[in-house]
Amino acid sequence: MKEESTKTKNKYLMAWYFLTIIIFYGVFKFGFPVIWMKIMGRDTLLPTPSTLMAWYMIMVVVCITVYITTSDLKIKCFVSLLVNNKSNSVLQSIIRIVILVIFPLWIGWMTFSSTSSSVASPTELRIQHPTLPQKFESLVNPFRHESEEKQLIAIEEGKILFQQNCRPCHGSKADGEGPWSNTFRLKPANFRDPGTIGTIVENYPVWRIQKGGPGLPDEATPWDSTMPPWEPDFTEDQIWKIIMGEYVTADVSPREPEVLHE
Amino acid sequence: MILRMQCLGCLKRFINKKLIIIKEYSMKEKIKIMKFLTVFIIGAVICYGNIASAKLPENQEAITAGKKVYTRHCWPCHGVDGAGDGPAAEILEPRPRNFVSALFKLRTTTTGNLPIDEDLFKTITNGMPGSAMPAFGTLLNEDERWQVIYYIKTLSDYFADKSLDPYNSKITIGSPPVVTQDVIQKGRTAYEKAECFKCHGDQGKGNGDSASELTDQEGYRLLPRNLTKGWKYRGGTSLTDIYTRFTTGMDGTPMPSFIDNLTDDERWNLAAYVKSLIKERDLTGNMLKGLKVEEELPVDAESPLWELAEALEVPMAGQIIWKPRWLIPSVDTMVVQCLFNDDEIAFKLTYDDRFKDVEHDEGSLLPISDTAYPILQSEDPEFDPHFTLNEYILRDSVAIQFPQNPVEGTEKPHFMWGYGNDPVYLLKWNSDAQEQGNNPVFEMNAKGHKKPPKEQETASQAVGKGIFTDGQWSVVIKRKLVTEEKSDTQFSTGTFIPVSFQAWDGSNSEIGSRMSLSTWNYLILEGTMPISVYIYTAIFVIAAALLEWLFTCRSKKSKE
Repeated sequence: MKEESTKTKNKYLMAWYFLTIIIFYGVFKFGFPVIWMKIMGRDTLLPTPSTLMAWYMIMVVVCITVYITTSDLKIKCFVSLLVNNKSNSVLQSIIRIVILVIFPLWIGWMTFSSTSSSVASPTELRIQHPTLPQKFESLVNPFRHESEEKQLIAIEEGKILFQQNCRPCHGSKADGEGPWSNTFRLKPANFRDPGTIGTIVENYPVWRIQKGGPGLPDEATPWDSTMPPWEPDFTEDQIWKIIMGEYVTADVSPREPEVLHE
Repeated sequence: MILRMQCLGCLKRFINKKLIIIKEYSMKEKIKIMKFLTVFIIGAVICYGNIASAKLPENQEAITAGKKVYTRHCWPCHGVDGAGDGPAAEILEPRPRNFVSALFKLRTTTTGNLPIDEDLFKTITNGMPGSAMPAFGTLLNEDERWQVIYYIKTLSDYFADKSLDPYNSKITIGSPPVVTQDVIQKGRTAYEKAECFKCHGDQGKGNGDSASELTDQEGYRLLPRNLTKGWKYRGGTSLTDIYTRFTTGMDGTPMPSFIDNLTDDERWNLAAYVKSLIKERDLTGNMLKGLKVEEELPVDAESPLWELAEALEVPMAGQIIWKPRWLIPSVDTMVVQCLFNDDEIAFKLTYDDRFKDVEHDEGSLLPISDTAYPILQSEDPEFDPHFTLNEYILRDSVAIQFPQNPVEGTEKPHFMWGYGNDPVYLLKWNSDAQEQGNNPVFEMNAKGHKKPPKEQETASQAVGKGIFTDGQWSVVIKRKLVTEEKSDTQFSTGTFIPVSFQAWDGSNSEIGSRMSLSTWNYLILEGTMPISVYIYTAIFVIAAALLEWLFTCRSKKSKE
């Protein structure tokens, strides 16, 4: 009696199998982004990464396949939907036809989408801090030997020059969020980020300011950089002032050069 | 985290205990306890809310601290004395706020009055999008923001005058209506009633009849907002923000208060209408996908074929790499589409431009100043780059730029007219040539910034046409895919071709390297699908069907 009932119940086992997969797919694909957005308190959806998606789906398929193959009866039930039986109800026949039609179409779609090439922009690798040319390595900030007071004046002058010339891109706060920061594919550097001017010695920005984007080596994609070469506009002293003002504006200090032998 | 768990534990125990106790109490006592609990909870919430937005008391100590903040962050633009004349002011448009004259745009007080502290707090926190004023909310903590406000108030005599207390002239802001199509429609009626179109234009593109004559209180040029560009709304884009702007007016600008001309409801409707004009922009893409069609490519920008092509929104910035630099470009977004067939390729460029400038006479073009950035503002009334324009008349132009030679890997010429050894090819459309009935599209080449792009010696093979409608140019440029000319870029399917864009707005005195430009994007012309793709797909479908058939046959057999 009991076995009879399970048998009839499981007539649709295959339909349930596919339905479960589809439901889980829906939850991972559309439910999770919303749930994670709520949990993390973000404004935008957080889509599930495609590799994670693949793993989730593999787990789901393996789990329910394991469940279905736990007994011979279940396997029989699973297959029964596909077999044309006179005792089959109309619903069963419909589901049977739907599965039989959709499966080859799905295979066809998968083949089509993997063989027809999709368009993605070429990956561009970029070295953020290429090696400092020798010529700039030996430069010394002339203001570092001056009195405290003179240094402060240099910093103030530098801050003004920074606001006048660097602000449109690097921002009033030197955080890379100037009015035009979103207008370039390559965003201007955020100097408040300790990974930028905080991690380089003071001479490095002299090179970057004097030669700008066009002065970069090829591995640093000079054609994408909007940094102007400021050499024609500023003397070396002015550039040192800008650098001192820039560090103060950004609230970071330059890296001390390593000394090999004391 | 641990603290939170402990708290939760306590709460649980507390509730359990309380519940047990409640059981033993009479109904009256129960109500009493509940009342006490409710009052306690409400009280706690109010206290918490107050702590979160507590306003720092205004005293000498706060003012002194505020001065420190001011000298650290504000004076380069706003000036030592707060007169809006800092060293960076002369290259800014709009000018930094003059705190001495104390005319503030963003207020919740009636027109002509000072702003309340909270208004200034909001401005400092959120900044003024589209201007040089950044959002300090991420840099200064709340106390520092209050301190600098108290200091700024000492810079002007008006704030000291008790009779001008802005808190007496605060407007009351109700709650915004639910926005429906009907509300927006009513808002449009209010837009016409209040004659907003006189400055902002019929479709809100900032191109009204009097748009070109507007100035701020000091006589500097000021253009009315293009209301479709939400990212430039100085005071925010919420319904309440927009409603507040035309309820209070924007002091110091030609934007008046409409509190007497429009009813409260009309102003809310108008806010809903203005908000409905905002077009969001998506700047995440960098790929322009050309669409293959069989038809003849249209030179007409209004051809329905263009609706099929995918659009790419390209951000544009002022040219600041080489002198003369340009800090106030007019075009900030360009929408680009591409169509091609076996023989030709066509681009459609759409962008907002307030004024149609189709005449060109460089005349005695003013010498360009030798400063790093051009001076835009000066105390000298004779000097103003926009009002001395009558010395020359400039046209509107756009250009599409490609590397002249096929690129290897990701290496490209510089996006500002290339290098000497890595030239670029430009397709430039000039409005004045079109107006005179000549071919408006020029083929040009450039080898670096030092010399402006040079027109090719052979006659241009490219054609094109621009249409100007209500503050917007739509320009189509068309060329053969492959040409004989060596210095032309050749187009082929399936390869990534770097592409960038440049625009000149004549009435914004843009010419030469005074222009807006974009960095590199990619153009891809998708070829036709190879036949093998269809064959593979068919094979797999048949195989799957066969498999099914075998499977059902076998199961049937095994059942029998």
